[in-house]
Order: sequence, then C-alpha cells, then structure tokens
Amino acid sequence: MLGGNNPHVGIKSDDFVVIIAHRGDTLESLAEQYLGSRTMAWRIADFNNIAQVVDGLEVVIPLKPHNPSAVYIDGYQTVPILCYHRFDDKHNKLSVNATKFAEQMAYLKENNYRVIHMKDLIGFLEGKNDIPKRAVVITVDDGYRSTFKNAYPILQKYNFPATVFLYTDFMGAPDALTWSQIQFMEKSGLIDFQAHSKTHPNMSLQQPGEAYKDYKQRIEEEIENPSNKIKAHLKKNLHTFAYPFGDTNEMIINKLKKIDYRLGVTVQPGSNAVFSYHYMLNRTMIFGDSTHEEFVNALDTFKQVSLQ
Amino acid sequence: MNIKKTILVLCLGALGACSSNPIAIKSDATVLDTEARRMKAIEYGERQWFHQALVEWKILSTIDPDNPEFANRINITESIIKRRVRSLLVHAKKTYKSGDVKHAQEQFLAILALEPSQHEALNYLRNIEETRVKAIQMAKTQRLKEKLNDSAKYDSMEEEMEQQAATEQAKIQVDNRYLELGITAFQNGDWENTIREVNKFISSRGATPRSRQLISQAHLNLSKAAMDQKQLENAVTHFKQADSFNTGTDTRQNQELGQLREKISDELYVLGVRTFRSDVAESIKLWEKAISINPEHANSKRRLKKAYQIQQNLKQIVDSDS
Repeated sequence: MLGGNNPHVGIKSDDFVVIIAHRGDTLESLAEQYLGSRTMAWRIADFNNIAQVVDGLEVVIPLKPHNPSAVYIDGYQTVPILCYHRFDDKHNKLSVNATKFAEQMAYLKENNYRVIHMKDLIGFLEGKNDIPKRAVVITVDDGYRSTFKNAYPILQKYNFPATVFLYTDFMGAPDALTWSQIQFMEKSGLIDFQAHSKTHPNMSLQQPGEAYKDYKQRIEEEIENPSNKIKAHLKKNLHTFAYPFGDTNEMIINKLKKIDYRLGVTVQPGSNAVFSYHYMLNRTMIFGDSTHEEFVNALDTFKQVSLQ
Repeated sequence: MNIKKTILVLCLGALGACSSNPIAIKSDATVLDTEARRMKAIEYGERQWFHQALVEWKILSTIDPDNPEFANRINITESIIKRRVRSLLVHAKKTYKSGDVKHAQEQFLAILALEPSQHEALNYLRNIEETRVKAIQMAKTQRLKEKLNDSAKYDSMEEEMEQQAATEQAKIQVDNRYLELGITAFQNGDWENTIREVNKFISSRGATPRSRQLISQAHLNLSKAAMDQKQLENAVTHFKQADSFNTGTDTRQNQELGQLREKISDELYVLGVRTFRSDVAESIKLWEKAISINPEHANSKRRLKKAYQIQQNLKQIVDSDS
C-alpha cells in the first residue's frame, strides 16, 4: 500500500512507483504525494503520455529523471526561449500588442506547451534534471512598463513564468518598470528578474581607440552594476545574463563565470538541446509583425534525427 | 509465475489492507497488464531500442521484484548497453578526431540515446556546440568591428538597425534620466554627481542651456569649496570649467562667477608677489594664470610686464657671461 492520507494499491522500487489511480486523483495530487511537489505533475503526464488521471488507471511514476538528456532513438528534445521586448500598440517592430500576446499564450496552453522557469534549464543543461517534453521559456528584454501593464496579467492568467532582463540605466525612465512594480512581480514567484547590462551597449565591441584595460573595466561595470542593483532590490542571486543585441565574447563570458552566472542568452534564433553552450543559448525574437506561423515555427521542441 | 494482472493478485494477497481502502479498479481493462508490458519490452529489445527496453524491464521488476526473468532481462540489457556504448564511444571519438564533426555528433547522440547520462558523450557534444556557436559569434563580431571601424556602425545590417531603432527611444529616455539624476544630485548639493550625470547627458544628446547651466553651477560651487579649503589649483580647474559651460543668461551665476574670478585672480596675484623674490619664473606662471582667469586683472598685468623685463635682463646678463 502506498501513499499517505489516500493510500493507493501499488508497488515501489528505487526507480518507479506503479499505482492504480483513485477517484479524485489528479496529476498534481499524485505529483505532490510521490514526487514532493505539485509542479512535478508534468513528469507523470509525460511518462504515461496522459493529460489527466482517470479512476482505475495504471500510472507509472518515475521517481528519478529516467532520461535527463532527453535524447531518444528518433531525435532529441530542444527548448525554445522566446524573446519579447514590449507589449503595446507602438508602431515598432519590437512591440507585440496585448491581444496578440494573449493569443500566443493561449496557443501555448491549448497545445500543451509547458512554460518553465529559465532557472529550470540549468539542471537540464548540466545533464542532471529532466524537464517537461514540450518545455518553452519566455523572456522579456529591457524592462518596459508594458511588461507590468499588459503582459503580466496574461502570464498570470495562464500561470506562465517569465524572465525579465533589465538594463538598469533605463530604470526611472517614463516607459520603464519601476522598482516597486518589479518587486511586486518578483514576489508573485512568476516573474524572475535578471540582468541585461547597465547601459545596453554592444558589449562584444571594443571601441576604436579604446585601450583593452578600459574596455575590460567598462564591461565589468556593465555586468556588475546591474547585477548589484538587482540583487540589492530583490535580495536574491542572479543566474542568467542577457547580452545586449545578443553579442558576447570570451572576456564577457569569463567575467560572468567568475561571479557565478550559470547561463547567458543571445538572440541567435533557434532552440536549445542538452548539449547547448550554457553561456550562448539561442533565443528567438518574437516581433510585432511576426505571423502566427512564424510564432508556431519558433516553438521547436524536438529535433528529428535517426539515431538507430 | 504467470504475472498477468499482477496488481490484482498483489491486492488479493493483501486483502485485509485492501478492504479498509477499497481498490479503485473498475474493470479488467484498467488493471495493470504486465504481460502486455513484457511484450513491449521484448519488442523494444528486438528493435534495439535498449534504453526504452531497460525502462520497461525496470517497471516490470518494480511490479514483481521476485520475478527472476525481469532481473535477468535488466542485467542483459544493461550489459548490451554498456558494450554498445563502449564501442560507439571509440568509433565516435575516431570520427571526431578525423574532423567529421557532423557524423561524430550523431554518433555521440546515439550513445546518449542508449545511455542518457553518458557524460563523456555529452561533453563531446557540448564542445562541438560551443565551438560552433563561438565561431558564429566571432564572425558576427568581426563584421560589426569592420562596420564600426568604417564609421558605418551597424547601418547595413537591417536586423541590428531595427533593434537599434527600437532601443533609440529607450536611449532618449535614459539620457533624459541622466539629466534628471543630475538635477536631483544638484538639489542634494552633490556637485560631483551632478557633473557626472549631466556630462553623460551632454555626451549623448549634446549640451542644452539647462545642462550647461547645471554643470557650470556645480563646477562653480566646487571651485568655491576648493578656495575655502585653500586648494588653489583645484579651484582654478573648476573655475575654468564653470566659465566654459556658463551660458551668460543666468544673472546670479554671472555675478557669482565674476566674484570668484576676482577672488582667485587676487589670490594668484598675491601668491606671485610672495614668490617673486625667490622664484621669478614661478611668479610669472602664477600671474599668467591670474590673467588667464581674469584678463582685466591690472595688478597681475603690471607685475607681469615688469617680471618679463627682469627675466629678459637676466637672460642678457647670462648670455653675455657665456
């Protein structure tokens, strides 16, 4: 007999629990009971290839990641990281209006994509943790106020997490998020704030006539200043840095490693596999004029390769 | 043991416990069919999908841990996987060393399909990917550098232009923010930060009357403070900056500048007089500085004229001696 308050008939080994579901069981309740967290429901759903639990159903619950690299005989899992900027009706390519954003989020929900936190990628890329099969990461660059006004309510509606990358010199501008808005969203647990430089320069470029020593110092300031500000305001450690314009180099990456950043994101379109380089992850920009087809194409969660 | 519907058997065996918690099995269709799972595991094995086969055998072994077939199948499958991984790894490394990265990548992936936690294969794949993305970035950076050096900053690259245009609006806001920060620092009496923030605004947006007035007043105040602390050199530096940024439209600022101009030049003059007996050249420098700040400083002009004459006479004496 397994389980606590509502025991199941079933058997357990080091790797699996096999049970017959009760009336009233859900993926979430089983995840809570056997995996310690309701948020792990996806592992049961994916392994059994089910969307819900029905009374009397045999359910196999993997207690450990049984395929952490997500490489299969017919290909491997890839994780798209979507990159948004602002959510308004400005006639600007980087502005996705609220209606369109809501439609895109609805599409993710209706088609069983699972939006995960950026930090969930760390364990996956290290080959330690599994992630949901149709995992997608949502990111928002710069820190426009429309993130709070227009995107946050939609993300809340679907309980989709997102990571917002702030370039901190923008803070305080009329169009920028305020620290109180940032703290409010961070507190919800849904939105995670990370650094995107201080002044949004192309950090990979040493300016003509700029001594290397000065360039290095400038880059260190671009990394340390926003990191310290975000840490001070939100009382947390940071894990991912978004390079302005998506460009980076060895010196920047070494600096990030030195101060314990675990991931770096570019704007090179495409998804990410378990073997992707942690400090140069692909991200696909979603533009205001992106068609629905382009949006769907960005959601590439599996790369077909015959590995027989 | 025939293990069809194992759960049912297990449950019947534990009838006492089950009776207090009725089993939620409704029909035979939903009862665990271990035979079907066993067939699936065998099929996976035959298709050489060994990882999937191993998973199924492990589930079966969970259901019926005492069944020797399942334990045996697990051992056999694990041993096949181990052997295949070893052989594939040798082959993949050889392919990688030969420079055929694309095929090596597929071979390392095939290893992970067999053994998902095979770290050596994963590390090779990571190295391949890291090299690939770094090469793409380096080529892009090189293109950007060339553009930058040609003073055609990104302008032929449409994508970057679009991003730039989008961020330009934000940039204007940031620049205005610098000016606001400068004003706040000024209101707080923080002259150094006023200068720093307003300079950021000016370097990006150019000088406006307001930014000039702010920065001039901040330098003026720093110059006054330096005078109070007898730091004449520092006072001169800040005064010159204040003077250069002064727009001439702020009457009060003009007045303050005028007063400070007199005060500094007088101080330089007096210092020059004190130094004159011991060091004529130094006195000349001080009076020249006084005049550079206050061209109308009559005493300095007069003294300087005489000092030049004395210096000239001394030079003639030295020249005639030699």
